Amino acid sequence: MDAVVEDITGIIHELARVRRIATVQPRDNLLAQGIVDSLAIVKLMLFLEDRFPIRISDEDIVPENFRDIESLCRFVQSKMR
Amino acid sequence: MDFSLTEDQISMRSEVIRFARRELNDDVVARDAANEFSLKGWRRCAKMGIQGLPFPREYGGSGADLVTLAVVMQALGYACADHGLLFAIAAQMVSVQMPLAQFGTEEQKARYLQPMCSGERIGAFCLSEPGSGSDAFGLSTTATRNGDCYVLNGSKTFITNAPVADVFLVFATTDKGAGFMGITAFLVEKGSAGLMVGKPIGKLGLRTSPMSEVFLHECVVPAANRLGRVGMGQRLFTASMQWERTLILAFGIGAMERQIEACVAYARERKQFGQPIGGFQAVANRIVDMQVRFETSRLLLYHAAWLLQQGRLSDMEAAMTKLYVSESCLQSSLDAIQVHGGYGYTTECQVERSLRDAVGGRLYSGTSEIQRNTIARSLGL
Ligand SMILES: Cc1cc2nc3c(=O)[nH]c(=O)nc-3n(C[C@H](O)[C@H](O)[C@H](O)COP(=O)(O)OP(=O)(O)OC[C@H]3O[C@@H](n4cnc5c(N)ncnc54)[C@H](O)[C@@H]3O)c2cc1C
Repeated sequence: MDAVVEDITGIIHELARVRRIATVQPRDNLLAQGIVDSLAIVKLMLFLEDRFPIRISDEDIVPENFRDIESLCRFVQSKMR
Repeated sequence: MDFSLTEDQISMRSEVIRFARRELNDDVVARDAANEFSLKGWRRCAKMGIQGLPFPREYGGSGADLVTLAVVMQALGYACADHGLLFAIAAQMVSVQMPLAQFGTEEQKARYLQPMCSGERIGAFCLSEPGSGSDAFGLSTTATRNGDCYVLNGSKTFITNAPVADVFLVFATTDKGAGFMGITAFLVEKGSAGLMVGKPIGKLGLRTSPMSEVFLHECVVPAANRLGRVGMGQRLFTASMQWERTLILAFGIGAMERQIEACVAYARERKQFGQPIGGFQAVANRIVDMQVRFETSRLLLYHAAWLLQQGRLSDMEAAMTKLYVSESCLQSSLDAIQVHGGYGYTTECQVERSLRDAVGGRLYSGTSEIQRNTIARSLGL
């Protein structure tokens, strides 16, 4: 698995555990399930900025970038380009 | 590092203290008992320039910096006994006027911000719901697009100013599947079909600040009244929370200052066992702790306001300020009652009202537990 996908899947599973959700599929809606909520987004952003050479701006925080693991991976990969 | 206030700030402080003593302290004990809001006081404050202080001149404000705002709100809290009124004003400034100033269109600013600065219109911030308080974005009020309008459905609770408000800043979800990123803010005018304001809610303290529920039933709002972009509600809320957590309790620091003066005077005058009670170390130390709490609160407030002005305030600093100042106000009020003995427990003495007013500080703008969560998260816990 690509390192980006692996790391993102890892942090999302960690956030899901807080919500007592055992598994998350690449297309599960993270926002609707509350896995990425207003508290988790802060932790997630810190993690992504720490792990990858990217800076996330306010404008980036839109559902299209955070809806599921797939869109999150696409977002991070596009930022790294 | 220069901690001194400017000459302008010092003279503004004296002017505000004179104004508050002269114009805002009528019948506070009776109005508190009757849960009575003072529209007269609200308008007087607007005339004095309070509501417009930090907002741009083109919308009727005076463009003051945020440290000056902190100094002025503290001065009001020191000299004005009606803390319900000050809370109501501060709530409008930090949670309605501020997002309007930062995210509003020119038309929205002219229509809503300007008359709020002048005191003609009153605004209410409608986020909390019966099912979502600390988990503010777990809200269930919906907004559905319908042509040039949105249709809002849901209910809001604990809404400060609602019984007297002309404009309601309502948070609703426009995209359920987008969680907190699907929340959008709307400006709903009083009298809109489908908007209903509930009966005033009775409270422990801050009784002169009116509060009620707000119901939205098929309430039609023009799309032009959306504040910010679709899905921007969380950003708008986060920005206003920085102001709110920093500044909302500035008046409470003024109350601490007044309590210390009252305690020192009382401890010097009141004699027991043949000597002033201030001569007993237990009493003196309690007042010393009040003074230390006051000074540290003031430093946190000014520092956070300064950082906010520079655009450098972190969530942790805002949360620390809100947490520490609110807890200090409460402890200071308890201490003031203790120093005054049985007299402090009576309504006439007015210290008991400060205590009742201070309890809310641990709840609104995020409870103390939520502030601690934010600080813990910022520490990497
Ligand atoms: C005087 C006053 C004025 C207000 N004005 C307004 C207003 O104008 N507009 C508006 O929208 N709202 C307003 N509110 C509502 C206020 O924002 C909420 O009361 C507050 O956010 C707490 O929500 P809640 O009351 O539903 O309590 P809950 O969220 O149900 O909390 C109950 C208890 O559980 C604790 N708790 C909850 N979650 C956690 C957690 N994750 N970790 C640890 N502890 C937790 C809380 O700290 C609290 O002790 C006002 C409240 C007051 C008291």
